[in-house]
Amino acid sequence: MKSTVFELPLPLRPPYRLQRLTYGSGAPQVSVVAGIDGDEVTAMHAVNLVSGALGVQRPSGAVFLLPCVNTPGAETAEKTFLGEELDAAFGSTDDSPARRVALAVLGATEGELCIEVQTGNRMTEECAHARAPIYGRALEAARASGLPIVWKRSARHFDAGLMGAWRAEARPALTLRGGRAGVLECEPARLLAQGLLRILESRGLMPGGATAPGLVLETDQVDEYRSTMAGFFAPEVHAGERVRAGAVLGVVRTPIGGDTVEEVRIKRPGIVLSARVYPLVNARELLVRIAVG
Amino acid sequence: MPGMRVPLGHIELPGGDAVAVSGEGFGPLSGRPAIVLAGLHGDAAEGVAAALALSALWRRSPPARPVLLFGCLNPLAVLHGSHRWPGLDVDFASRLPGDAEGHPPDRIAAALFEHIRGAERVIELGAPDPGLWECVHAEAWDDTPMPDLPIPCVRYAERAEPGSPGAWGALRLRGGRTGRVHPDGVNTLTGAVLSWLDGSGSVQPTAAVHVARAETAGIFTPRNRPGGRVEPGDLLGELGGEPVLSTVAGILLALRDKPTAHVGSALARILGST
Repeated sequence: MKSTVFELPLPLRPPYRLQRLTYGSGAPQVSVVAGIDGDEVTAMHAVNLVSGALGVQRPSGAVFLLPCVNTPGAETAEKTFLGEELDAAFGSTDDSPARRVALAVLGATEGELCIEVQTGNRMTEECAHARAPIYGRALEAARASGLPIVWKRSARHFDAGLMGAWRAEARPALTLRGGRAGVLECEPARLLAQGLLRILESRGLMPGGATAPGLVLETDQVDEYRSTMAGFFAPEVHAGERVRAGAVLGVVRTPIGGDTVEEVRIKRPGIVLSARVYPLVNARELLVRIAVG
Repeated sequence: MPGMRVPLGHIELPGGDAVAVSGEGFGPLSGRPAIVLAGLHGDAAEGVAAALALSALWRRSPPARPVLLFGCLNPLAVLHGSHRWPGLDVDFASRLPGDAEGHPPDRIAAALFEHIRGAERVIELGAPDPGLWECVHAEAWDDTPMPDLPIPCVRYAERAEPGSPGAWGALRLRGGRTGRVHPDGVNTLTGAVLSWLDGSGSVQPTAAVHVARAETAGIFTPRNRPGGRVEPGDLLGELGGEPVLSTVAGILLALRDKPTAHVGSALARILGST
């Protein structure tokens, strides 16, 4: 069932509407949100794929989906909501339009587990993975996602944005991420949707076995490789690839002429969690993240 | 009483909503209309505000001649305050004469051009140059007639940029700052449109416009106000702490208010004395 849970009048166009899809009823309850940043279209697609599955198989409980919170941003391929960063509005105390939307999102997400689906930024391709605090129900859900990587992080990494707002209300919350902002990537979207469905299966909302589990690397060790000098970074690995110690992750070259400035080699083996795909980099910018293990 | 609605089309949004783009007709129903265009760019804020003021005025007191007022031609850009049509990232003004089978801005432009083609005269309330603070002034190109107006008037010998309303015989009024509204500017624009509507046109040449440009890169601080007279030696501003002086006499049409200036950046535009 599709319902409008919040409206915000806008000048010169129809009002902004926050729309929620509800599947099933009763307990348990899980909420899934995507599109806080308007350009995270892969995340939106993933949640809509889950919507399609829930339309066929009614859950034993209730699932609330908000596939696209920031529709104005999505329409114009922008991260912000009418110029304001929506994620930051969850922590603000003002009465701005973005804050009103943020409060509406909080009010529309119910249940014992809350999941935000995100993508990497516009510069970076990310492997489909789950991020959760180092213990608790959110970590159990992250494991249940069966995504290739579960990144356990200290709680302070989840103190801001929608995740922070959920956690402030003592709701177990985690993020699933993959792809990159600004472009629709169907394979990461499919993996994220599978991960969401596995989580619903693990909570008893869906019959089990519909989706095969992925190969999980669970780690709190993620190495970051940064450029020591500015230049043009040409990666030699892609997100999701397993790499061995000593392998070349990429080469920083001069933008004019392409002379090698720096060869970036991996120190500890693992899976490429994210890789910079927009090549022009400043010194100290993130090139590659490796989930170690 | 509201003016007669003149639809140009709808912009269908991905979420299922649609935004109507339309104008209003005022005055007698017969005869070729005068057309007022505003909001072709989303940062032409004073023009949109002046169009609203004109609409309110003509609802109370219709003009003696037929007028079509298109007060917000690019509503999504106005909503975002952006110069260009959001999403497609195109300059709506450059889409004229449009394409009835094209993208949304082309379709709206095609519908608009049908009206422009049948108009008796056309005026555009345009956007000031980004980075410049402009006094309200009028621009005409080539041999487009221009009536006497109570504001500085500039005639360019060359043709307007292809595709723009000016290329189809429109005058342009512009002033203020991009994306900002000041009541003085709105009132001046409104008054200038009413004078334009009542006036008869002529093709008198005007003095040349002198552009003062940065000779070094640096931070520019304006030390004058657009709209007033300047003489050679008058202070226009400071660039990197060094004074920038006018080298000509005339009316200060525009003064830079964006602080960073590169070599060649426009710092001021001065309409020379005739």
